[in-house]
Amino acid sequence: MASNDTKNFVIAIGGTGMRCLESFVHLCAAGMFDNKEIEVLTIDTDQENGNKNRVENLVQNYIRIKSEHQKNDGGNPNVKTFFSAKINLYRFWTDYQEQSYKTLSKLSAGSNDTRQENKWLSDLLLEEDTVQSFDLGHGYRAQTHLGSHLMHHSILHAARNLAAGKTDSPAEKDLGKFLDKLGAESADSRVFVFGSVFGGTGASSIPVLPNALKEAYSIMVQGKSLDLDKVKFGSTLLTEYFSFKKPTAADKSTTENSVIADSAFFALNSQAALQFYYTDPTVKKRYSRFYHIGWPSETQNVDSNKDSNKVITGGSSQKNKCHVLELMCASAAFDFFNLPTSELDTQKARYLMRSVPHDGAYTFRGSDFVGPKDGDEMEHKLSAFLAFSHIALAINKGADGQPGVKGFNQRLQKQNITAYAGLTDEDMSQIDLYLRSFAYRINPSNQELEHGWLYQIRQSVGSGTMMFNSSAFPTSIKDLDQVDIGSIMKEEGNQWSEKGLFGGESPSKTFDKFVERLVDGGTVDPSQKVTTTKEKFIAHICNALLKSQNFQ
Amino acid sequence: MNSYIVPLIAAGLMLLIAAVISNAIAFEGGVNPKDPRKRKIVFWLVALLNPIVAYAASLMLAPDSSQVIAHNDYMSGLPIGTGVGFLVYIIVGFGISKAFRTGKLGNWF
Repeated sequence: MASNDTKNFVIAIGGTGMRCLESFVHLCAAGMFDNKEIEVLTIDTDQENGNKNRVENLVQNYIRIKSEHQKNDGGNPNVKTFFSAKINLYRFWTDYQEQSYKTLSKLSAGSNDTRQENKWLSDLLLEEDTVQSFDLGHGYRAQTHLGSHLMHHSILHAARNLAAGKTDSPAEKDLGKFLDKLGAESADSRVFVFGSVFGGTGASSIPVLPNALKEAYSIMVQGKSLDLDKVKFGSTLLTEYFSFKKPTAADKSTTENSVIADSAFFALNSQAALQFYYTDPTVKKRYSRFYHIGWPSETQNVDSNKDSNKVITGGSSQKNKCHVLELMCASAAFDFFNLPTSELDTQKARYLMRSVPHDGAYTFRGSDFVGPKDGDEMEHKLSAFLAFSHIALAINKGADGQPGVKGFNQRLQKQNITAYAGLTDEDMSQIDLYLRSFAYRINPSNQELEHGWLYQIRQSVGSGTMMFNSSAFPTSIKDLDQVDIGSIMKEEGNQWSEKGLFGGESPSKTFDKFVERLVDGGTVDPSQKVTTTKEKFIAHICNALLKSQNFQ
Repeated sequence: MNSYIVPLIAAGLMLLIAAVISNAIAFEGGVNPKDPRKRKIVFWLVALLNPIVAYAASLMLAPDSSQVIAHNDYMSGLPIGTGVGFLVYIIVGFGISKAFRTGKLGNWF
């Protein structure tokens, strides 16, 4: 295991990076990153991107849940409980909304001579009426040769502004804070980068990021340097796994949309990127580990959940569903952060891969994600968190917008457990909100069950299975009344369903048993490092659920 | 037979019945679960039944009317015995409720 002094950093870049971060945050919520403090930086060119906003809202809610009432400090790391990792969020985005930055052709700086030279260089390498002219506000649109250059420049530009003290940009200030943390902790720091190799922003940024951060830190904190021999970088080599409608001539009819990423080329992009990552000496030197992650089955079509026929290039409409591969990426980060330091003391990258059995369909188990040693723990913790979601959302009606966690807390008070009476409605509604994004909610406009993260992950597996029994995933509002929190896990030894009068499973009796267990025990242990009322409440529920599942 | 014994035994049995029924009522979800109220109602319904059952049982077990003195003594003590049984039911029920305050029986009081 990594020592407790190891400092962990996560950088999520582009739409795919954001969804990988979403999986990572949900693993943190389930308690997979015990006793860790994680600095998270989101990087995108598209500040309005739907996936970016979704994950940033998720992280901000996570931080609120971790914080004491009306503080927003993210609380403290805990052990063996839900929301055990402390997460700090920093957001950096390149501002291409301003007219003079909107396209490459409009970028201009320096003397007339410099500008003329830049123009000649641009004309030599990049097509003038397409690559130089498309709207950068929706990302680099699979033009990685352009994107790497621009992202590197943006980070350095921000560092120069910070060094000169002439920035009011919250994005640049956040980058500065992140670099400060990275610089301060560089003795034993690990940075894991989420992003794809086949798309635009992530694919452009992953290769240049370590050097860009190093240079930016040197500019920002003059006289100091980021020691990249001590800061270990890891990333995924995530190849194509989703597709979307081929852009038509009409889609590309305007100058700002003259370049639109075409998913038909994603496989080719992936192939070229992998060749680059295997041969480029800078990348091989700067990264300690690369985790190969790919999807051999049919790619997920992201158009199916969109109303418009138009190709969505970015912006708030881009809210793609989550995919099991993103959970695989988050699991790669789990591996990276838990490796012994000795395994990362290399001067060149290691490339890792593992395969998952495929018998016509996938049967994913915890060990497929985090290895046999931690697979059982992952299943237990995710299962317990799903059970907590069902308790709040289904049994206590939180999916319908009612105060689910509050209802459960009132239940405890009715049983004269008043230790958590001090929790405010706001405290508890934050947990409801989080659980809805994790599992499901009832859409008030059409009264249908809207899938959250875990459901979307499961859906992406198709006809395969995802760790738990299919009955753990009720698919209609009617089924919510019958959800049995004791039969989520597959192994009989981990099930705790109660039988009804005629021998069948009785969800109400199982819940009854759980409350009894909660009442009788499950109190928190000092080793869990929980101090606030909210932390104790969450840990109490976690303990009772894990105990019910016979998890030691 | 002492006219206090049957009501006391009846109180014990009725407490047992109330406890069994209360424990059989499952914990409910939602902001306003009704199960604590149901257990309370069970306790007081059984409390109301207790004197009736105690009195009826006492009558059935009363000494033969041919034993005039014993019969009269028994019958004169019966109302008091039934009242004592009722009080014992309430007091012991209260004690049990406080002893198991976080359990289902804690909903009695």
